[in-house]
Amino acid sequence: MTSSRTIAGIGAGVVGVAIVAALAATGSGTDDAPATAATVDTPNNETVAPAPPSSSSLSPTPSSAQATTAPSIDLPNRGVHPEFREIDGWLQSDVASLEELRGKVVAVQFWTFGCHNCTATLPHMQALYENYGGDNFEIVGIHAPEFDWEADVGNIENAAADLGVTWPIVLDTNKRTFHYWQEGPTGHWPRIYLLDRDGNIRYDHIGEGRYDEIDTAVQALLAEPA
Amino acid sequence: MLAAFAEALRATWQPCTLVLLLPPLAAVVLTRGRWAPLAGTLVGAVVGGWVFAANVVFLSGVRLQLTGVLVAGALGLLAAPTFTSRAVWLRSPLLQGALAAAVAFAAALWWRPCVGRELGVILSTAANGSLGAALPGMTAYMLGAMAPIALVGLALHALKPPQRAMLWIGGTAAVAGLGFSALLVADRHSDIVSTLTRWTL
Repeated sequence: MTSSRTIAGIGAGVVGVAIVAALAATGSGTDDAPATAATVDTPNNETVAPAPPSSSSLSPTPSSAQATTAPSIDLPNRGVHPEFREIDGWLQSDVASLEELRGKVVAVQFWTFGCHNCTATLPHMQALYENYGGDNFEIVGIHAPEFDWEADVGNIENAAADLGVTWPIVLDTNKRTFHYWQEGPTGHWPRIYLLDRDGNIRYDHIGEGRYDEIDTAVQALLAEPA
Repeated sequence: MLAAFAEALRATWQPCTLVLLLPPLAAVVLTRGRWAPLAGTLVGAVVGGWVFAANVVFLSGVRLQLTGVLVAGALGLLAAPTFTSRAVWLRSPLLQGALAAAVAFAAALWWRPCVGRELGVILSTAANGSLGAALPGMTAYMLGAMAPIALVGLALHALKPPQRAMLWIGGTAAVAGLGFSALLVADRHSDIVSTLTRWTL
């Protein structure tokens, strides 16, 4: 009995040290913070097959809207994006469908303003918009609320203003589009899809991070012939 | 792997992780950090994490409520020996290990995770059809999430609180675990997560 307690004490010490060591080794900042996942009772069987390219295949290059050579990144064609399902309208937009954005590279991001991980990606999204936004590139933020207070349009507009979200926002209040696009019973926030000029899904990433990779993918898609 | 472990550790304070942590924590505390239920908790959480990463099942609606009832029952069985000496047979390591594993497994399926950088890469890899490649990272992530629970369990095991103290500790764990299970059954647990999330904004 005593030896069992001794082993448990040693184990507690080891686990405690492992916790401290892991936090110390990787930094204790919270900027990686949360995003969330949502679920539906029945999985959809649509055609979006997410696939982030292997990081080993990447050769990130500096941001440049004028890039003329395609950066090295594997961007498999996953087919044309699914349609929007039962959306409640657009904010901050001159267009009312993704089809109207054909000819542009489009970053579609599923987000909600109460999601820490989503808001953590916004500085990068803003940089993308500043660097590439215009005739060749657009961002569409699909706002899919997790909680009731995130569904209020006034709250969304205020949050967009506070967070510097200046690109078009699609209101997906019932998360029909959120679940329709994302395979399986669980959907995630944030999730970014990059569409080429023909509306094909060419890149997909769940969660925060991979900013250099996303930047490289945008450059590569912009460098593809129209 | 270390980054995934650490990211899970950092996520433990976040409201979205509450559902993953509270039921297994209650199970480990109620069994005073005994080896079998502690091991069962870790195994159940890791396997549940794999199933979550596979994205083939998620408990919601009636299925969520049903598992809430089952988890409440499992926690009740784990709690019984703390409060009555008649339930000696419930101290069986095999039974306690299995019950704790089931609780942790269910919690992982209820989980709506905080998707940071590392978990994002894990889930993206799994979504790409490379589930096998995602499993090591998911294992590290779930072990990171369970590390504070393991620490509590091991500390309880080593310190062996007196019976009177254990009644309070176990009572608190039972109320928290069973209360949370009741919220799941009533489909009201997201209200708590919603409120906590709003506070942390």
